Amino acid sequence: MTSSIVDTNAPVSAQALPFERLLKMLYEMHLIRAFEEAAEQQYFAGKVHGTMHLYIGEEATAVGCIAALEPGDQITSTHRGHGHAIAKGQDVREMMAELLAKRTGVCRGLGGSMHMADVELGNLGANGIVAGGMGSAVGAALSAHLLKTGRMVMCFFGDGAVSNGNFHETLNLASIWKLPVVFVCENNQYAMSMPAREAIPVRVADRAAAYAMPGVQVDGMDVLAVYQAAKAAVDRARAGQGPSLVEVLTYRYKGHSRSDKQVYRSKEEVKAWQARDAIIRFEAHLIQQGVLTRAQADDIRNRAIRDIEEAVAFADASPEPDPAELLNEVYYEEPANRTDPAMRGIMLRTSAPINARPLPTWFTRTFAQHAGSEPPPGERELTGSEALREAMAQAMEAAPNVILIGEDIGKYGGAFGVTLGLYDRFGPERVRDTPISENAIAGVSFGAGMTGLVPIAEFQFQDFVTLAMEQIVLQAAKVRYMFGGRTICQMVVRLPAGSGTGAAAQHSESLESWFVNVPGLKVVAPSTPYDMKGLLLAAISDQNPIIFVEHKLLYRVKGPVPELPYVVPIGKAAVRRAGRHVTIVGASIAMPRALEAAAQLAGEGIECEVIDLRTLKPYDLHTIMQSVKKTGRLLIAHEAPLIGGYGAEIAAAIAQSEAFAYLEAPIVRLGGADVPIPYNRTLERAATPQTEDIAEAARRLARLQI
Amino acid sequence: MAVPIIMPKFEMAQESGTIARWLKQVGDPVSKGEAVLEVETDKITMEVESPADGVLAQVLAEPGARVPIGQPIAYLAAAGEPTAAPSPASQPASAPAGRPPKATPIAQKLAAEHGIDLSQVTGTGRDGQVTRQDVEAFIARHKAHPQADQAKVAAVPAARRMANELGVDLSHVAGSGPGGRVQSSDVARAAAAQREASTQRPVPAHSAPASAAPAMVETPEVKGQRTPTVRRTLPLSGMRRTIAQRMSQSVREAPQFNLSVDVDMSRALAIIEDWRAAQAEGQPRMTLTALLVKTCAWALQRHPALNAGFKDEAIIEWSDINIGVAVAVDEGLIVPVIHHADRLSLLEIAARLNDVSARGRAGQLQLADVQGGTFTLSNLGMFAVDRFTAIVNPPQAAILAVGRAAKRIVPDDQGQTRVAPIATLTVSADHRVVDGAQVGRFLSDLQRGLERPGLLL
Ligand SMILES: Cc1ncc(C[n+]2csc(CCOP(=O)(O)OP(=O)(O)O)c2C)c(N)n1
Ligand SMILES: [Mg+2]
Repeated sequence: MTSSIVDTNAPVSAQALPFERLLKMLYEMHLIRAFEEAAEQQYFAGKVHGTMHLYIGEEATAVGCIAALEPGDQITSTHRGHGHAIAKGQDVREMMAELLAKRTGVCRGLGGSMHMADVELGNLGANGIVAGGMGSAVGAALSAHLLKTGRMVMCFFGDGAVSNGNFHETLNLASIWKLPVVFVCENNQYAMSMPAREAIPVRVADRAAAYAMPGVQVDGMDVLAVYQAAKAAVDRARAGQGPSLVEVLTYRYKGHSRSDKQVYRSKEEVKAWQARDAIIRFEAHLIQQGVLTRAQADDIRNRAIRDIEEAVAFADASPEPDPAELLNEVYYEEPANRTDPAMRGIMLRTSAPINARPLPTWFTRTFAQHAGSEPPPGERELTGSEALREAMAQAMEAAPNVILIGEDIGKYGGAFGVTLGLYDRFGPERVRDTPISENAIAGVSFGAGMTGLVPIAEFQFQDFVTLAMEQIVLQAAKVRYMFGGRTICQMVVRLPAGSGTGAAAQHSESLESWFVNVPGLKVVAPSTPYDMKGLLLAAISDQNPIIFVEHKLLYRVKGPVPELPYVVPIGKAAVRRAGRHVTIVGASIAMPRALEAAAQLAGEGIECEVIDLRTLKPYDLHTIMQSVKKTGRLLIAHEAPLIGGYGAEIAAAIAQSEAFAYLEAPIVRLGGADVPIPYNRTLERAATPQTEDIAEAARRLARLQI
Repeated sequence: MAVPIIMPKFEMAQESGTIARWLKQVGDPVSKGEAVLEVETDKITMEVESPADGVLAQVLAEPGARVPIGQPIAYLAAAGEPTAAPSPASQPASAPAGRPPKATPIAQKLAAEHGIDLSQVTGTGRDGQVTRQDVEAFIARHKAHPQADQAKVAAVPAARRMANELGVDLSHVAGSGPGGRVQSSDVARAAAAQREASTQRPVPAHSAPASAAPAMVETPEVKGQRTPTVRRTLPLSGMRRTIAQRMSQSVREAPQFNLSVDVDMSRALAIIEDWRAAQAEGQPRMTLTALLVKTCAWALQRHPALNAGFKDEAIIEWSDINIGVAVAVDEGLIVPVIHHADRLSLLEIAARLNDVSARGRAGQLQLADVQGGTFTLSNLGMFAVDRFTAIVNPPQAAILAVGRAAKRIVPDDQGQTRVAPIATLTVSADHRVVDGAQVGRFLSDLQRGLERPGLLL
């Protein structure tokens, strides 16, 4: 399926393109080079805070490929992304301002050189992570496919990305789903210092065969050859025939980044590539073809240089961001909350009472008929998994852009049967079974969640999220912030968690504390069927990435669940039982255990106040404080490991709050032991706090024996 | 050459002593026989005299420290020898001249704990003796930096907040939490007590209004409790430590048995009544205890086997009859001794008893007052105690426990019933020294002597 290597010494291929398109391409190549040269000067002048990866020498790749796209199409980019952004039509003034970390920058000074995305314009992300943008490209292509936008997605990545798992997972997935995406490998011969010929044992283009897609190799110093190869791939995808891989052979004239001493290559090698410079060859070709004169060519170059000088002047004159705005763009905030200073930026911990938070706009827009926020529970009883299923079904029913994605969630119904029946009801397009590709599940969800779909990703076990940490933590969590708040990522990651099923060390973990530590993620951990439905609908409606922790032992627990769609506000705790002697705080499986312990202790005259956090971030410090001021004693219990667990955050927050002065005893925490979950039933129980542990700790606390 | 001052042994069973205070400071000249420091045992406070002329060169133990006997606690240097301390000339002028004021052992201990110079405290006790109340009042008055002191008290945040709100000095609040930690309930109690007290005194401007009920956190009433709630934990003080040690030793080492007898106290009580009725102004108050001591001495004369002890794998019979009488004081129990009770008249015994129990309560007993007992009497007849057994006070072989004389119906010689004040007397004895028959005979004589006090004359 691959073409033969293009003869790189041949003259620039002729293309039947209108003159103005050709001139525009030349201008763009000059603009990129002028931008990069100016960027380097800014760096030398000490005006650039970080480093940067210059695109000089590779201009033909971005310009040739993107010339094959329609304006509405989308791209994903890389750490060496200035060229892609300019070729996609981004404003160089905003880009230069971003480089100089100004408030007028395309990312408001929050992203810098590596993140000059403009989602609205169709650049879904320059990416600091090698191969990190590949999942989002497939996700965006999935959006284009399901929402029938007719859009194409072009995914740029370097030769370094070819050795990364993302490459395999995403090419595979795009191929089996026949998605409209073109994979463009910019083979500039090196990944930092690692030569491509040493890192990749075959031609990159040949790898396409493994995914049953066309793979072509093209001379990246010939912009029209690049255009031609890209155009063929785009046309194929637009015709619904699925993805292609285009390997562009190119070269970066400058070091990898500013600190590169270039000891891994010779000056001769650089000179040899510069001798075939794509801009010079393209200019010569156009002059030879009679498209323009030398003087006109010089004009084009000078115009590009002037435009960049103006961009520098604009950037220089622009203000820096205000430190008061530091937190503003971490999370998408509902418009109603944005005007409320108490709600501005999301409060990691809400120490103000959460009373009347407006319903999420997505929720009210989606459901014509709903029961609002926290309606009365009613009579009907569902199990935890039925409640989750109902939330998903109602969202999918009301909003065609809500989809499910995960392993064996289709006919099989998911590892724990939570999605049973949804495949039959909504079909394979919206209930998407995936191969065993965890990082791609997260990555595709992330890309889809940025481009109009609302994906709900299911992991078979929370443990497996470790294979997707890159896409969740480095991409989904950060995308909004590093792009200056100019995008959303509406996605839910459902994680069946916890021990108690005899599944041993790799299928029983409670990793929720990790995610509490990631800016940009919200972490939800319901304990009742009522909350499972209400919080899942709230998570789906929330235009931020949500980690949704489902303890496996709670799937079969029954409880009342209202029929209509409703939300339980994210960030609001519930007082499950009132008491005056000890406050017990927890979430998820710790709740039924704490309530059972509280019932036992009531028989001993000890009245526990049991607070269900429901969401671990943001969390409801206010409710805990009020309770501690009443009881003077605080016990925190969770299954996640004790050391560094989220309970430590709550303990510290209370110790730092005005509730401190009401403490009658040390704050006590119970959590998982520092041990992989053992298989043996007795040991498994001993590894995490059980009812009797909570009861004993609360008893001792109540009696001031601690 | 440095001369050591060692922790001296004052009493037979003494194993260590607690430094009460130093009467001399490092650098002070001392002459042989001059008091250098005071040492506290479980019973009394003793002065330790300098073994030589010289200068106090080095002090090895601070007030409050418990030091095993025989261990050096200070060193004297010959005059002119270098010392570790400043020369007398540079001593502050306020250094107490002559003998320091008298103070009760508790007052001394409290003063030492708080680093208070007792000469600064005005005594309100007998002869200007400084009492615990005096030291406490001094502490309360002279707290220059109450915050700093409060910080040292182990108290939960809630207690600190409440103490602040209610104007309570945390250092005066007894903690009921683990390790004596002060809880808010303790502060609330202290505040209530303070309010009560202040109804007699003018209310200080800063104190909270009496109506302000503290926002109390409740501790649950415990049902079905498994481990008891600790109200407070008291580290053993000198006296309690000695009681604990000696009583455990007694129970551990001495095989003890108990024999009881009921005694008709009609005549004994009548005699006491007679004495009291005839009592002149200034005469010692006659008590039943005095008569009991007298009777014991009389009976012991007849049964020397009980005027005995067990020491170093031998039975010792004493010829002196020295009867120790257990007296309850604030911190526990002291046992002043009525020496040669067999040679004293009833009135003399009563006089001695009055003297030693008054001085015992005031903490003024001398070592001689408590040493040399050969038999012990414990009379709890003033309480609603019908009978009890006591624990032998080693090395003595026997102790007599006397319950109250309560009216009971008893048969008379004719087989008719009558009402008489009956007391139960119980001897606990060390079986290594005496056997049941010997104690039985002793008890019979005791009964005889009390029922027919004329025999004692
Ligand atoms: C996952 C990951 N590993 C390592 C890096 C550090 N790094 C940044 S760029 C780069 C080389 C990438 O080479 P290539 O993909 O060929 O892109 P090029 O720099 O050549 O354009 C490396 C190793 C990274 N950013 N991300
Ligand atoms: Mg490369």
